[in-house]
Amino acid sequence: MRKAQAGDATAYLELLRALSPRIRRIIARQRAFAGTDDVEDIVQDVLLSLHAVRATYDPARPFMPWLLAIVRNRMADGARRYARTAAREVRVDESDVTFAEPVTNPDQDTSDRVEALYRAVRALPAGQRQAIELLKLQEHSLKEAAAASGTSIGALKVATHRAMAALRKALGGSARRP
Amino acid sequence: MNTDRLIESLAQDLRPAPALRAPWARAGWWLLGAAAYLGILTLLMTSRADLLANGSSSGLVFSQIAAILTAAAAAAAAFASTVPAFSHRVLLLPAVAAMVWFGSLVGGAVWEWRQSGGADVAAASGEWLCVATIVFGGAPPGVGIGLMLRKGAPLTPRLTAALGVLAVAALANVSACVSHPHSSNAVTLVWHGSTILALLAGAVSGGRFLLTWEQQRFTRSPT
Repeated sequence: MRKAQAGDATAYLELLRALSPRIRRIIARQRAFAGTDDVEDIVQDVLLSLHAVRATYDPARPFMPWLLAIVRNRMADGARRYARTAAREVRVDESDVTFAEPVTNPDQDTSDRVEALYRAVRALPAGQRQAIELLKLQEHSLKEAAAASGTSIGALKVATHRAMAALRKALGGSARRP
Repeated sequence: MNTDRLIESLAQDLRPAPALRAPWARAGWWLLGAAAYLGILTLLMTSRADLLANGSSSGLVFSQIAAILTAAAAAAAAFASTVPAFSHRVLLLPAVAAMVWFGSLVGGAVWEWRQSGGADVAAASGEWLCVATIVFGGAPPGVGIGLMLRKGAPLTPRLTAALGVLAVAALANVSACVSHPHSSNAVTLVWHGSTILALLAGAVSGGRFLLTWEQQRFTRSPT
């Protein structure tokens, strides 16, 4: 961590790679009721938080208590978020008749078109592809996507706009505007 | 996003982030700046006669020393509360100092009440100047400590904000007490005390909006 504070990216990469399985195990053990995705969400939350407050680590003190304090804090926040969501949302089972039947989805048949879309996304330049993946497929906010990709919000917007135009063109102009 | 990709992107954009100074050192720097600012403000607001009159009252001097110690301890505890794995024992210091400070005011008020039978309190007028001094005079040091606290980890945002506000209010209270004479300890206790309690309530309710992990990520994460 001391090297990471000095800007050593290689040491930081090694540290985070070594820590993430330990963090995952701790969270999975203490949140046994949580699903794999929920655990992974908290792991990523911890990693982002650790990154954001890495300057608060005092190299003269032990590292693990510092890390565990962040893990505990993010787990508590995750539990509060989960409780709020559970209190406000009603889980509805997917209804075959209403939503999944082909007759109710005349516009979107077809694995062919889905496959064509994936091919078109894969054919995009790297920057545009990343913008589409972060903003449209993974549904991150602009701020989150900018933090994750290391580009500015403006650049992301431009890349998304160009990517959408390219996808429309690749799919024969039939793709709908977002 | 995949966790491995997240790790790679965090490492790829890593910028140096030197360790923050120890909480007591940060508190010391803040205290120096805030004391210098409030000292100048007090000198601008007061007269030599008022300063001499206030300086000759041992009760007032004692309660102001206790207020300054409360400010120092609260600032140090506020900074400590933004360091993961901080020792909760640091919270004892501002608690004890604040008790001594308020105790000195309560003791003085009781003693005065016995002497005058409450005549001072009945004759007292509103001390809106004190409220303005604490709120508006304390605003710049408040912004200063707020910005400094946002560099830490928002582990206990309400507590951290409350400690920060206590530090600012205790110091601004000294300025309000020294800058002009007060009719009695009871008046000081009621007007200063209620102002500080109102500010603390605001800090407790607003702390989680001011000190958030999201704000940390988007200001500290490299872009």
